[in-house]
Amino acid sequence: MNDICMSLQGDITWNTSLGPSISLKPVPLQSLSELERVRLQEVAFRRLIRCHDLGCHITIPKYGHKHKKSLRKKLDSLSKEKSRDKETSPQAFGIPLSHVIINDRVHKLRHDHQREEQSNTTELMLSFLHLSSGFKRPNKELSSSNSSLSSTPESHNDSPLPSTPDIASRTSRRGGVSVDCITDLDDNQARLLEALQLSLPDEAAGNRKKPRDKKLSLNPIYRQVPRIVDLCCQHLEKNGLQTVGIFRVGSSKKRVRQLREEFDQGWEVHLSDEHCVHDVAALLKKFLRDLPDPLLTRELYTAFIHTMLLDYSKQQSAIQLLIFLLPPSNSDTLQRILSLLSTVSSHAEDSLDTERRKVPGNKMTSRNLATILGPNLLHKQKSSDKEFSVQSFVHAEESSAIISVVQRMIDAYDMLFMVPADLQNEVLISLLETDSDVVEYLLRRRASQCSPTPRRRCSPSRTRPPFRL
Amino acid sequence: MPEQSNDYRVVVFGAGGVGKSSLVLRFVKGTFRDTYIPTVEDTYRQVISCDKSVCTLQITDTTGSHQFPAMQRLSISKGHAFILVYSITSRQSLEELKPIYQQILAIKGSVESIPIMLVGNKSDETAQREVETKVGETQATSWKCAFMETSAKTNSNVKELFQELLALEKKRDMSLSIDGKRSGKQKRADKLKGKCSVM
Repeated sequence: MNDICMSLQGDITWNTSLGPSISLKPVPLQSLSELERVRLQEVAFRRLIRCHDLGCHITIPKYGHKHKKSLRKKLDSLSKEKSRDKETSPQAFGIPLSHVIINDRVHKLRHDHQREEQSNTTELMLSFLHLSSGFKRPNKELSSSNSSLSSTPESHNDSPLPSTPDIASRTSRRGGVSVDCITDLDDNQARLLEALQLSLPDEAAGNRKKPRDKKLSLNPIYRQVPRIVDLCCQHLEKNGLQTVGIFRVGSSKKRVRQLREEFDQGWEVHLSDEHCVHDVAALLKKFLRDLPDPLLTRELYTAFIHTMLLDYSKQQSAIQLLIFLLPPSNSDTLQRILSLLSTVSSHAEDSLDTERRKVPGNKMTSRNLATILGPNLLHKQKSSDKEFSVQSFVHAEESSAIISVVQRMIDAYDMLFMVPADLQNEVLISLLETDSDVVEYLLRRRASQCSPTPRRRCSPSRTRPPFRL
Repeated sequence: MPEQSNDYRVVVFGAGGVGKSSLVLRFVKGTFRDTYIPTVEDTYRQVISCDKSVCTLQITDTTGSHQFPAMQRLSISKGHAFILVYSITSRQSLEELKPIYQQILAIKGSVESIPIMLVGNKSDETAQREVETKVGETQATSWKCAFMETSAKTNSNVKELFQELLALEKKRDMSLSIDGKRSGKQKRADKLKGKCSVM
């Protein structure tokens, strides 16, 4: 029943019997709920198999499993020797992306703890459990689970915060889904980590085959970008856009190492104007390079490379579908980085400011940026040096494909993270099969995102897809 | 150590944007482009005379920007001779050569018999100079290697750079021109004077 091919331009309209019909428009990926994002992954996967012949095996990158194990280990070691282990293991570099994000949250909580003394551990734990089982009572948890770790502005203007009808309940909502509210930490760190893990989407991804999507939230996932990435990007956007050869020109190894150590020790690191932009750029590259699994994942390496063999007109949509297969933390982090690179490349040429004075360009076109950052984002080597060595030359010929893929990503950044209407449609149809009761809610929220007036409630059972199933 | 092959491999190292590719292109093709394009890795080949016969001079132009240490180590272990380039307009770019030099030393064991040339490029940009010639010379002395300042843009000292580098190789008698106009003996004489500091 999903083999109906929609035209990309066609208007896709869903009817809610009591409310007005809703015409699907491209929406930002980050505005989708956790549930929709997991479904989108499956939909994108099927679409790739059906519509693009990439000539290679494609798998949805595994995420939950391997991390669960190591996280478990981490929890064990934490509970055994709390403080010592914490000091020695790096908090940012060379560890999986999801761990970096967890560490960020833990540090943020600890930081908040210093500000707010009042806390209640039980309530805290409860609030996490609420979050993870939010699915069961969508009406109580309608408002947002968003909490940006570093409270940075979104790169796009549409806030993923849904303007839901029950804003009032958000204020009364206790602790709720936002990690910002959690204060107590020290004596319950292991349990807290466990709870945090529950609220992470990779857990959900691991459960995909079990009772379907039972734990997935109907709210957008909080934006999963490591703090270090956010800080570097902000710093470069503020200070580096006019710097000739930003990302290309070398940096001070010593100062970069210092910065790295600070982030690794989990200090409250702040980047100021005194930090040299080349050092910050090098730090960001190093972070990406040191990820045990590359940001675009080893599993999808060949598929990404092979998109360049498709007709030019199909390349972008194939790249987009592959991005939709990425775990949310990878995709969110990629989005943040591409947003920066796109901004940097838009300042490559010399230009005139408002007073018609010449502003020198940074000379870093999307091609140049892709040449330098491509191998940091897309590779399939293991991070350990040994395995890295000789292979890198075997794959040297692939490097031009790597550069082209990343260049396309930078150039098409604006479009890549907008979910086209036809894919949303497939997601909703897929949800209608298994969780028909939530489709109405999702549609209504979408409508409320589009227009300021809240829609009237209507019975979920009367939602109709745009065509007969 | 490098395998027995007739190729003579020269590897060019240096930070991003110091002009490695410009130097190599000026030497190989005689051209200079005023564009700004980072290099992934390029290799150029040229036939030169060697021990009364010919061999292939293979010049590897490396990337200055993203250093994957393993790739760098591989280039070093395969290379016979090295050109370490910094820009006279950037003190930092000279600093960045230090770990590369250390790496060469570590992999080759000793630099005694390895031709290495420290090169301060962009010598035409005098107004932006940050590294005095003396500083480069001092560095070269402490590294026991040769030193030159060049400008790929104005084609200053580029050919000389490669000539001197080949002259530093004691195991082979090499010269850029196949017709053997410049005899190896003459260059060995240069060598005996110590370092081939020009300027």
